[in-house]
Amino acid sequence: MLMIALLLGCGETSPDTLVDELRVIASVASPPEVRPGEAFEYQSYAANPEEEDLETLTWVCTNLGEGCLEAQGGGTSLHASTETGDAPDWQRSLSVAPAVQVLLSAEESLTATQVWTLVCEAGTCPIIAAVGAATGEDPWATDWANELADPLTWIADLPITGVSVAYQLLTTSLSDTPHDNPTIEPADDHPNELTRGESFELDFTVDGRFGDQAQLYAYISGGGFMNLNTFVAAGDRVTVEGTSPESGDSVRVWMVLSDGNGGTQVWTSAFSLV
Amino acid sequence: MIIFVALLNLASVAAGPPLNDGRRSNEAEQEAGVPSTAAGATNGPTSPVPQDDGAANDAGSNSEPGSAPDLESPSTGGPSEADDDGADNSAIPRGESTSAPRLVFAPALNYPPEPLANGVSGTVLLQIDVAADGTVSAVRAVDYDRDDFAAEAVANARSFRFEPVIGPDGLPAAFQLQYRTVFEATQAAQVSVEGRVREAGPRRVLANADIVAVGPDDQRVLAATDAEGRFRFSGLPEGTWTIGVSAAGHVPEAFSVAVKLGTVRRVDAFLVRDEVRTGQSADEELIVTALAPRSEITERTLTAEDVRYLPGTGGDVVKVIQNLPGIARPPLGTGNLRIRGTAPEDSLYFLDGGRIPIVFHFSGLTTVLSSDLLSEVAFLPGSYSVRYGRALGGLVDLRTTPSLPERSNGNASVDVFQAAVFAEQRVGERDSLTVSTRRSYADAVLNPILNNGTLTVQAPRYYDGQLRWSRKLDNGWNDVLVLASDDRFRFLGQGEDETVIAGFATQFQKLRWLHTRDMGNGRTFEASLVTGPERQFFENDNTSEAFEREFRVSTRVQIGQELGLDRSLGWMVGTDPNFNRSSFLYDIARPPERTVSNNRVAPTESGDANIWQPSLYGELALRRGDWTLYPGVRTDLQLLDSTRVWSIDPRLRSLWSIGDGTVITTGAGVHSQAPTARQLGVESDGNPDLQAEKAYQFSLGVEQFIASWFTLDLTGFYHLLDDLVVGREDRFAFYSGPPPTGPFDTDPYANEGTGRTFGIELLGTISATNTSGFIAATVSRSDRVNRPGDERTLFAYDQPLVVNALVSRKLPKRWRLGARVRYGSGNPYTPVTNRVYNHDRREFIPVYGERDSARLPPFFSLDVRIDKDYVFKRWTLTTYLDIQNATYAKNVETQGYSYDYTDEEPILSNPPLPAFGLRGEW
Repeated sequence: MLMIALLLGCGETSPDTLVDELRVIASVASPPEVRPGEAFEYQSYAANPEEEDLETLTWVCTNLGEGCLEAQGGGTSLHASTETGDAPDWQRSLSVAPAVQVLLSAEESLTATQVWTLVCEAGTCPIIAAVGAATGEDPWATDWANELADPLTWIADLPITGVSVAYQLLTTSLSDTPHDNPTIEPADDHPNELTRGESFELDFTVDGRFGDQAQLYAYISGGGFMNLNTFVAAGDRVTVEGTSPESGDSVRVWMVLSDGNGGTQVWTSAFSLV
Repeated sequence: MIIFVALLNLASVAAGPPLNDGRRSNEAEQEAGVPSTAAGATNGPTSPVPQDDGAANDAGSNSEPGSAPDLESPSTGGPSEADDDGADNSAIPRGESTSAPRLVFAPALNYPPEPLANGVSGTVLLQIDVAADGTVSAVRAVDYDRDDFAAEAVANARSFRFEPVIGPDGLPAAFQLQYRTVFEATQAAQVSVEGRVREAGPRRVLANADIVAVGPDDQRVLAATDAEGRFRFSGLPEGTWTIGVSAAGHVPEAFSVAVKLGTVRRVDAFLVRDEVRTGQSADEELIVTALAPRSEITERTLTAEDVRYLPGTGGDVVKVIQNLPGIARPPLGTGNLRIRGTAPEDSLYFLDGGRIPIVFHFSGLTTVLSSDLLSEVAFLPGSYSVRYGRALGGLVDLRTTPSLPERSNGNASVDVFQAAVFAEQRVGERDSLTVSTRRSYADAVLNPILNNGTLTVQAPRYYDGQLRWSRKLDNGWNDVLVLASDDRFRFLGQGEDETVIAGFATQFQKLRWLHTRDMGNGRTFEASLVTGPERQFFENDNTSEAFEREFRVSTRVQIGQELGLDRSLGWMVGTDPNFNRSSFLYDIARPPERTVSNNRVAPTESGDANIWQPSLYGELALRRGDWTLYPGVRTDLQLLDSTRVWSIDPRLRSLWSIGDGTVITTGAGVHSQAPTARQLGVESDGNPDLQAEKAYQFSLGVEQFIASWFTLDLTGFYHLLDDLVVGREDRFAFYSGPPPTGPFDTDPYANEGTGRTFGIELLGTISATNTSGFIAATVSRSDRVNRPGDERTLFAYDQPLVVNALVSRKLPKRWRLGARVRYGSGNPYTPVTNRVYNHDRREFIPVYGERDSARLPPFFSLDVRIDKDYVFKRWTLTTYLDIQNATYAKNVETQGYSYDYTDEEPILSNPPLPAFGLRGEW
């Protein structure tokens, strides 16, 4: 099936497609559906336009109202690191608490596991420093473990800029054929450069096991896209239209494909501006 | 035959002429022991009789105009009557006069129709003060058989002209005399001119209007209209007469009438109301009746006529309440009432004492029933009588005192939002029928503005209708009112199916029966029933639905003994039991994307409940001197399945009039409010052990009459709230304003909340000659402690300072200019201090700071209104232009944010919206 979604705006770009601050844009869990205790790779993509030194913290929390089950299951569910660059991405090896297995039947899945990503400009978030200080110990045994179980209680105290907090629900199941992430590829050879202040189009093909709410989201570090999201189906060819920034030497585009079943894929590329 | 007999205090008198010689009477009347002259004529008088002469003369023989009475002539017949008092009446001047009073002009009598038809005759003894120039300065009936005879005799005598009496000093002097008017049915004069005087436009009858008929020979005959505005002149000589009509507050008019014998000429006058008056007048519009006799200590009463021209109200009497002290400014024009720091759901609305669910249509544009039906609107912010219960906050009672219209009347109006028609018809002697309907078309006006290409907005669409039948009983009324109201607001998606993205509806249909009876001796009886279904409905994306349905039966039976001038003890007992069949469904679909724990979408809930609410209340009224005390107690029981919620509310109020127009009011009492069926847990996750919420209300006020045009009311209040039901804020609920934000108490329901609300209310009422209005100010604080141990926080509806000033002034040529200035503190809100990005939903989720720790900017608005009335004989056309927020103040109605919550993007109030309207009244 081929669907061309040509997003014709009225000449104005959608403001929520522009990413001009520190932000975790997307994360991809591979695979997106795991068995209890199973490891998975978790890759995060961030925008860092000011190219600040960043501190990151990633943790998994299966919170059923009594704290994170992962607190009892070892340290593979918690990682801290530092990152640099204008569009860093980093990958973690994480795992879901084995105790989740008691909650699952063979037929059902559970989406109670949250994967949190905290990115802060260096020195902004004390909790990351605390995790760093706990290196070599079981981080979950420290006093602030309970805070990781309910981040909403302390995030309010962090500055609203220079900090980005994001979470994603991870599906856990006992399935022998777990869900896979979708795919997104450029439909044609994309240009390497864009003209400043000019509109442009990018074509993609998307595929996977899509649900009814599968959507393709478009983000850009300057200028903007006409629309934030487009509903897609497996095998679609999708065209997105945007406008490049008026100034600068380059611009970065992130395309985030959500298949509506918990699967995610990210395509990103930088374009020179001429 | 009609004979006039006068008993004079003076030594000599003059006989007056009949106006119509051809029909004068030849009979004279003999005063026993007091000879009198007589000038009996069907249409005319008269012969004043010297009290000490004792002669009664034939009226026909000696009462020619200008002739002196024959004081020596004996009476030729007719009844005679002694008047012992006559000789004692103080004559003016005292002492010996040098000339006799002589009646030189007297018009014919108007014979009252009823005694004339029945052949009833009678006499009236008048006391007449005559000025030095011979005109009558005062007339009083001192002895008479019938009231109608007395009224006609007095009216007739006002036209007498006497020849001036020369006093001892050689100058004309005033004097007083007694005069007997005799009505003889067989000699009644024929009516020459009759008519009726009404006000142009509304056609309201004008009683006591002055009528003067000036004849071809410059004769002047005076009359006045009766209670129905009618007047008559009888026995006028043929010729062209000028009929002048004047009434207080109206522009006088004159009519030329050709009087012809045997023909009744008719004059119907419609006097145009003189809108701009000079001097002080105490009967001007009184906007807020604060000092009127009543038992409530803080009852602010409005009438429709008072507020029709006030800006920002659209002539809606109930909307004016929003400007009174004690009420916080409602957000987004919702119109819901936040009384003395309580939530809208803590206040109740009554229709003649029976509950109705809402008083305002969606968006607060107007009241759910026509203001023309309302006789008054009572606003009771607190410390009210035990007659009312089941509410922590204040209440509004819409009162529709039945009456029989004197004529058919009605009105029709159109403005940019709605069209309305009202008509009232008297049916027979005892019944009246009223019909009223209203339909908004705000959707047609606003939809093109609001629709953005991806949505179709069905803007607030409402209608209401009322049908009323009133029957006057011998000592009371039976009154039946059927009313229905329907509000709907929807967002539709584009496309053929126009999927409902979001919709909201409020509907109710009610039947109200009211029976009142005056049992005599100050005792009153009242029985009422208000019953019918009511429903709130919410829909979303065709996948979510929520409704609350109720079928409520509200009844009241009350009997009372009112305080009277000679009665220092009054009492009242009554009961207002309710039955409520309640059902609800909250089936709000989860968003398709996956989300985390802090979303507010709760599991599906549904339930049905039969709620019984028996009650009993009683109150005494004890008066000692200037002090009146109202002790009372009210008890309520709520039965719901196995739950029992019982409350006893003792209350005490007092009024102390300390003189000089000063009244001190005090109040203390308990006000209870039972939990809802949902909170009690019928088929839902509630708490069956919940008990009634309590408000301990205290108030102290002073009302001061400052001047004839200004009164002042200052009231302090303190309400202590206890056992408030808290918890489960994660549940879906119908909110009448912006929904609460911030961290939610998701624990089970419990009676653990406490709070307080206190403040000072000031109301200054201006009621000058051509200017009316009021200024209202409230300084208050309302806070809560959600659960024991929690910090005290501001209540979401706390507004520390609210000031409203409304004024309307009449201008020449029927223009009227009004202005309203509103200032109010912004509402508290919970600020967003950070955000979390949801990768699954690809959106930011706000993270809230401390609950209600920030406050919106103050609100300011200047509203202006200009009216112009065009008065025609039988109807009035009013045109108006009402501009709200004329200065385009960018007031923040509620806080909003950018998509990533980094920027505040507040939702502002509407830009200036000129509302032009027409109203025709007949």
